[in-house]
Amino acid sequence: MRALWAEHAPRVDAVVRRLVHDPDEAADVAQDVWIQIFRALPTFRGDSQFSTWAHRIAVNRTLNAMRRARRLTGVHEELTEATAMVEDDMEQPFVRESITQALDRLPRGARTVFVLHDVEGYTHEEIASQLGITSGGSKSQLFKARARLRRLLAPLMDHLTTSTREDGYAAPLA
Amino acid sequence: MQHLSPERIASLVDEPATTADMTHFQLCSRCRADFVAVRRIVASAAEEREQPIVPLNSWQQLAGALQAEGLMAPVAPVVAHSVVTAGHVRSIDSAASVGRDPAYSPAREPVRAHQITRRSSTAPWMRVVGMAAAAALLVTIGVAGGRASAGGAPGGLEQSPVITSVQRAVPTAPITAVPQFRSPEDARATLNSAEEVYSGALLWLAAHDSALAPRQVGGSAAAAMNYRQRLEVLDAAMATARRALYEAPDDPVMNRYYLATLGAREVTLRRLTTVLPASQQVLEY
Repeated sequence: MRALWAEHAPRVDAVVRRLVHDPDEAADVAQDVWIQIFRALPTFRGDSQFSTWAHRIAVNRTLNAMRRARRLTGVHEELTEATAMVEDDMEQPFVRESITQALDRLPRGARTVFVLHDVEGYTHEEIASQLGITSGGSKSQLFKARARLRRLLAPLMDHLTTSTREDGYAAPLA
Repeated sequence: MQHLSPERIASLVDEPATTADMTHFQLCSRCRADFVAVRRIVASAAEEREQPIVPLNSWQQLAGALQAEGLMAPVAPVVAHSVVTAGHVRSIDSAASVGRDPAYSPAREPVRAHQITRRSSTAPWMRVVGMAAAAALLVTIGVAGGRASAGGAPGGLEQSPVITSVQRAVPTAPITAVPQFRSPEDARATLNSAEEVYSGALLWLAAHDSALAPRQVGGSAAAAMNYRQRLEVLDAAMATARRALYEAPDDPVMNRYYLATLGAREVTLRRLTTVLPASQQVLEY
């Protein structure tokens, strides 16, 4: 059990941490996730990779925990205008770190949809089913989340794309 | 000219664009730049999925919860006894086989020489844990060396040539508080817990430490040079450790040292990739 946990906890716990903003709550949820994984272990038949199976349990369990904590009540809430900007720190070394920071500034619903779709690779249909919203609602939240992130990360992203603004452009699919 | 809405631009990362969208992009550099930026954010977010983190709970915490749920029988905290005799270290599996979680021990089994090729596929996080184990072990040995030099030789440890070299490496480190242990098992339990804390700190530093960041060392090129030099040193250390492992495949010190070096190499390689220009990537090292 320990070997299984040691191999997969860094990624399973990462999913939980991305979805749950508060570190203490995330630790509680992660423990709950692992209890559920070990409880359900006898039902794992090897149809998929263990990591994929555990990942699904982690997402389901985390969303359930968030529901219980009434954290998804704002899934339909309108995005408000940005009132706090990510620090204009051009020396912040990694774009990913900036995104993680900016994610904390998103409303919970938009953050959840962005994490599930753009980070975890879920489809809008899967997200809609998980969150009890429509596929169109999921898309709407995702695009608002991306647009908000773009605004929050404008100083960093504009700095990074200055040299490639023209060369790096590839038209969207028609 | 009316710009595309931010949401519309955000949607075009994975939704088809209309002719009107395409025409607008051809004429509007601002919307084009916005699109490039959003696409970069989305690509970076996808990369985030592969980023492991330090587990949010320790195994001890989780094991307690699993035991409370009846999913795991209580396990003996001690995995193996190391017996030192005349300069040779050998491991004796002394944990009670009855009731012990069978998956508990493999991660702590000594790595034998014939397993070296398999270790390259070990998860980077596990390698770092190995590094933590080695560092904690070396610290413990350092303490033992301090005791020996003070006249209180710990049972037989002064015979080990490995320990002698460690003593030379840290000859004057002040020992201000030597913990007292009731038994070797007690010491090993403490060592195990220290390893977990150490590995957590190590992973955190690997992700956040800015001491070697380009800003601190005079630019990305200088940072890359530092990481390359460190890789060379680590490769030399690994070669030495590998040779020693062929001579003494069961030696826990050398096994941990080898894993530690592997972990350090992995972390350094990862850091190197972060300071290379976008046009360069490490294909092989």
